[in-house]
Amino acid sequence: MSKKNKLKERIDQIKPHFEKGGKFASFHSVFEGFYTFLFTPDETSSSGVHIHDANDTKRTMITVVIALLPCCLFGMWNIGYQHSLATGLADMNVWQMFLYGLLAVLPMIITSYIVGLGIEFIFAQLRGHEIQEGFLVSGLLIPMICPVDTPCWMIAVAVAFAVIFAKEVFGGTGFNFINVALTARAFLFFAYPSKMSGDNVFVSLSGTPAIDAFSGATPLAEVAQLSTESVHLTAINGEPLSWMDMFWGFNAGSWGETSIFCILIGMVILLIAGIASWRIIISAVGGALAMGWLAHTFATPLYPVSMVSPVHQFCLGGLAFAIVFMATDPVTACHTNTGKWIYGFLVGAVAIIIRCYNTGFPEGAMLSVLLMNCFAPLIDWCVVERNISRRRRRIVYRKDSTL
Amino acid sequence: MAKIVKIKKGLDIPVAGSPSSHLTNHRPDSVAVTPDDFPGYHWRPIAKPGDNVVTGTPLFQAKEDDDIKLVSPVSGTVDAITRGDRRHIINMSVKVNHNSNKCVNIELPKSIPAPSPNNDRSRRFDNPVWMEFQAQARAALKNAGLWALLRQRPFDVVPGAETIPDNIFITAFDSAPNAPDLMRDLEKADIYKGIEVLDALTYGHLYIGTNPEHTHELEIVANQKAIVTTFRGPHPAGNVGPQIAALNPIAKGQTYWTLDIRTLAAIGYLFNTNELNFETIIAVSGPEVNNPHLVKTIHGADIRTILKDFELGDAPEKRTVSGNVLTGYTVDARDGYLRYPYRQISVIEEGQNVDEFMGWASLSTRKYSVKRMLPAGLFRLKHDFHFDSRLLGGHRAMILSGELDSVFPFDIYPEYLLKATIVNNYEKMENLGIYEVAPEDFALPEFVDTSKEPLQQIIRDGLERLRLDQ
Repeated sequence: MSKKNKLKERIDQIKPHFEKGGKFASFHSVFEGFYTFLFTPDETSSSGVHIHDANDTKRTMITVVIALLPCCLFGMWNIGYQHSLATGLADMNVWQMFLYGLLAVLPMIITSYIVGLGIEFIFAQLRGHEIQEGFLVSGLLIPMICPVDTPCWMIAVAVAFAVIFAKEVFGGTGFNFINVALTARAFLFFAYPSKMSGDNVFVSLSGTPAIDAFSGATPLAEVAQLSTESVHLTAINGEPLSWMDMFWGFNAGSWGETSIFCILIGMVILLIAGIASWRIIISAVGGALAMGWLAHTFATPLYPVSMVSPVHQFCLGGLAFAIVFMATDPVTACHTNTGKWIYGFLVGAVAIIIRCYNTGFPEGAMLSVLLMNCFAPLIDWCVVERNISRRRRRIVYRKDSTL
Repeated sequence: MAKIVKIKKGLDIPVAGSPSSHLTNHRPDSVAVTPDDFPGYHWRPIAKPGDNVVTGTPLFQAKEDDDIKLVSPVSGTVDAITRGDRRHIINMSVKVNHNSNKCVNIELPKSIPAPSPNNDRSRRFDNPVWMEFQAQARAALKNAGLWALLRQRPFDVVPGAETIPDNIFITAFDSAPNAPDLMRDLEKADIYKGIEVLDALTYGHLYIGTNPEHTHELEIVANQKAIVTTFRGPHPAGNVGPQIAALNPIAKGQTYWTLDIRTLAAIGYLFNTNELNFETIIAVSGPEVNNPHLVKTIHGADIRTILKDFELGDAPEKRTVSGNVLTGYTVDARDGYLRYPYRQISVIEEGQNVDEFMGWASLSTRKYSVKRMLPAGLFRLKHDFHFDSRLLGGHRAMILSGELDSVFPFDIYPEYLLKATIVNNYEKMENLGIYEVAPEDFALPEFVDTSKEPLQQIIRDGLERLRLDQ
């Protein structure tokens, strides 16, 4: 107790330097950010309610980060595992694989946080606001949905673009209308397509020669190139890959989103915490299943992805990850409960449509969520209009207002 | 049988220090009338320090309408007019004369006219006998200072002098944390008389919302003159706002009056006895009160003498709230007064010097949250929580959707209404239902709000702007 009081005393001593007129006044927001990170703000309520719920945005965002951790940790291991498959290094143990993956992605994560938080700090200071915690989540999401071999400078450019043009120009966290992490991903996808798709980006080789049977294609890319009626998938070393393997996530792909199992763990955390909307998740799964079933019913080798059964669609690409972590973003999704059902359904359905019938794009989930982000305000508008017209219809029976 | 309405969206916050039913009598040294408690009018003082007053002597008069008055709740001598910035009147205090219980004489209507044949309510507003009664009753309420105790929706202000309410809503229970039982020690005859009088003043009906405990009793008392409805469920079931929303929502152009059952009984008492009774039963409660219980006192009583009988906790700095912890006003424990319409005093820890290291990561079971991100919310802990007045977070933009809706039992989208109010979009505010709400309806949303925004203030300011621009 006394120790932490001392720490607070020390910080309180230097606090005046960061306030208006102090030596470091231009770092006020940064100071405030770290101060409130260390100690719960002691501001008391001045109007309205005198007591408050103990939850705040820091807690909320950290909970989302915790929900992402299973995917993140598994993804790191999987990078090492894919590396060992590709190079034929059978003697790598679990920890070596994990360490390999960790070292591969750590620079990406650090870059993302430094660039993103740096921009957040600058904008918070310019606006005179406190630092918003939203980027704690986006900063981890962005590397996770990129191929493992994405150069750090690309991450930096994409993060800067997304944070400035998808969020800060609109006013910061809470005002953005499209998901920041997916904006970064879309930026990379359209600006540097050769680094974002194809057979050479999803497996980290780091100079080690690959075995002869190696093919770096992700299962989704494999499916998209199928020419036969039956779906047989192979791992990157040419061995057959079962749907169960893909459920656990032993396949190549953007490193954070391969394991459906880990995504489910994250989903449970988000649902229990009440951050993600169960309405969006259920309706998005429903939408994807419905569209997947429709596509599968009219399957044609012209559009090979349509030959995948609706349930298996979830194991491919980033669909499951996008539904759980992207579509449920409370800021950019619909805000009304009715709207959430519609929004979620369309996210799922459009993702499958793009994936099946637009051969130009390997994955539809990203574009689908971004598209629906743009439509979410319209859906909400319609729902709110219904409420308004219901209110207008109330009969006023008043007869005469004169006394 | 009374209709039963279950309020599903809401929250009973387990604030420590709930009052026992033990009741003590309190005789204040001084009482004060605070004009700010009666929004909707500008109040001009008409008594001077040194004036001798009796119960019912007008102290303030509305600038907009001379007939509407704020009266002294006791006999005594006007002590002082306290002023704040720019000579704004904070309150007028009256030193109590314990030896006198005189009361001004209020002219009352002779008797309530017999109901028209077939109980045709619409006839009341073109029948001269009824209209005369209405005019006299309204004048009596205004002269007795009881008019100012009523509230009208829209705007949550003292009713306009000429308004005829489309409906009147009365709540017979207070569901706020640690609130007292409003029905305690009320005379049935007073309640019935109050019902009879108010029933004559409205185009529509008198609605009484009650908790299951008092339904039967009130049904018998009301004797079909009022629509008694039972409300179950968590706070804000006892607020008139959700009761109106559940039974007969306000449409644009309508005016409702709202009051609580104790005000109704005070009206009935006036018409029964031709005397004024400003006694009230309050709960002194909260985490920093060691022996919370009920106190019988007078509107506007001084807090210092009320708290003399209570052992307070040992928190270094305490906040005394006149009212409940959700909607009340902070008052000074030494020279503050009980504010209207609150029947409660809450004492909580101020907490501004609590050092909490990385509180956002806390797994403590002593921190209350409805969100399942904290143990209290995850395990639905129901023990008493020792709240203090900290925000426990920083101000943010609205981020989480749906959290306000979960404690807001109206057919209204609170987030959209708040946003429209912040940007002053009058048309949207009207469309989204601003006329149906009062600031108190946003108390629970403000409590659960992760972004720690002052929602009640936003609504109060919005309603005020809308009212003044009309």
